[in-house]
Amino acid sequence: MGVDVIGMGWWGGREGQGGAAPLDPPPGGRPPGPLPLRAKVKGSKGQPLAGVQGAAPPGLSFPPLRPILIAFLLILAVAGRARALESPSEMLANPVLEKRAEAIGMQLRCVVCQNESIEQSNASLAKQFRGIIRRRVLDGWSNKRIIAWMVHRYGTFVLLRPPFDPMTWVLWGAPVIAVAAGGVSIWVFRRRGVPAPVPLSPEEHRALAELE
Amino acid sequence: MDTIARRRLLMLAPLAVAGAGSVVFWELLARMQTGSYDPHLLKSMLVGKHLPAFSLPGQPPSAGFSNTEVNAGPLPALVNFFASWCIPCVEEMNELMHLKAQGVTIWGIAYKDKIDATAAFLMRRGDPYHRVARDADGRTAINFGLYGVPETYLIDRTGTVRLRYAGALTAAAILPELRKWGWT
Repeated sequence: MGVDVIGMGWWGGREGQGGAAPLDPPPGGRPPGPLPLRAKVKGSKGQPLAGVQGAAPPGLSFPPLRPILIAFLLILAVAGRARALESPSEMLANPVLEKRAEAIGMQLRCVVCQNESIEQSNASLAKQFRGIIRRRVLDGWSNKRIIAWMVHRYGTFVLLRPPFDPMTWVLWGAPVIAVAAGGVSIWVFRRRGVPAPVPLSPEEHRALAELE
Repeated sequence: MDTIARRRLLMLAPLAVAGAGSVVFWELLARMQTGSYDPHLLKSMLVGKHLPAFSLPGQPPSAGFSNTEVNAGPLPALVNFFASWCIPCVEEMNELMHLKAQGVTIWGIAYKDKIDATAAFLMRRGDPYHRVARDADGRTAINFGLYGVPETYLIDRTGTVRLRYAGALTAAAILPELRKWGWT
């Protein structure tokens, strides 16, 4: 789901190659060695186990998996129908017009987080486009005109359903090409025919006779 | 070729395809690392066209400007969208100052930024701009087809947009282009 990368500097990705900074030494000049570990040991109420090394003592518990699992499932449940309207106030009061605006937004790519539609993205630019689309819908613009308005500024790249043009001939033609290639190869193999099996050698004949 | 040899060859075919694919992917990743290939890069619709009509208020003390003023000013020129909250914008500021020192005209547009923040930014990093205008709601930026900051547009002697540079600009990248479009 969309993170507003604009704010972070969309192109800033190549700066942070420095790696992690060394951790500050703990105050008070603690002697080297592993940090004291607070572990839940059965019966004891979590006293610090100073300097645990290597093998874990019996009863040492691992981080509980269940909350993580539940959180993961919740994320999955929500992610399925992700729409990024931040508040109901973004929506148009008229449900018919709102449906139209949504339909338009779902067809348009968010140019910031490029694999999401304007309707799904949390980027501030996408939010702005949602507002613009809704205003245009209220102003009575047709779907076609609103989409053309976007394409005029951002190119056909914003169409999540690419148009049929020289750039996309191969893309749209792929099913036809695949079927045609399959047909041709079937035709070629059929014509060539299956080679006649090599006749059995006398030993093989004998072996067969024995089996029978 | 006998049947067995042919079958062996056919068995190797998918492996060869996968191998070729991995060479291509390796190359793409390598180019992404060096920055010579960026899958997010967008083609600008403005290239080959005139600037969209706009008239923006100024960032005090600078006066604002419009597309006609850019076209009437010294050309070729650069129009640079920036914001105080954007990290690559900080990165490119030294380069812009360098370009200014060489006499390149740069029109600045502060994108979705607060007056005070922009002022502080220009105070701290220097002001390489001919004039600085404010696009507070980002509507002009949308008419430019902007999809991030910083972005720089090169306008040639006829007022035609020749190039859109997305990301932190470098003098080394833009000077040859400026010369190509008649800058001396």
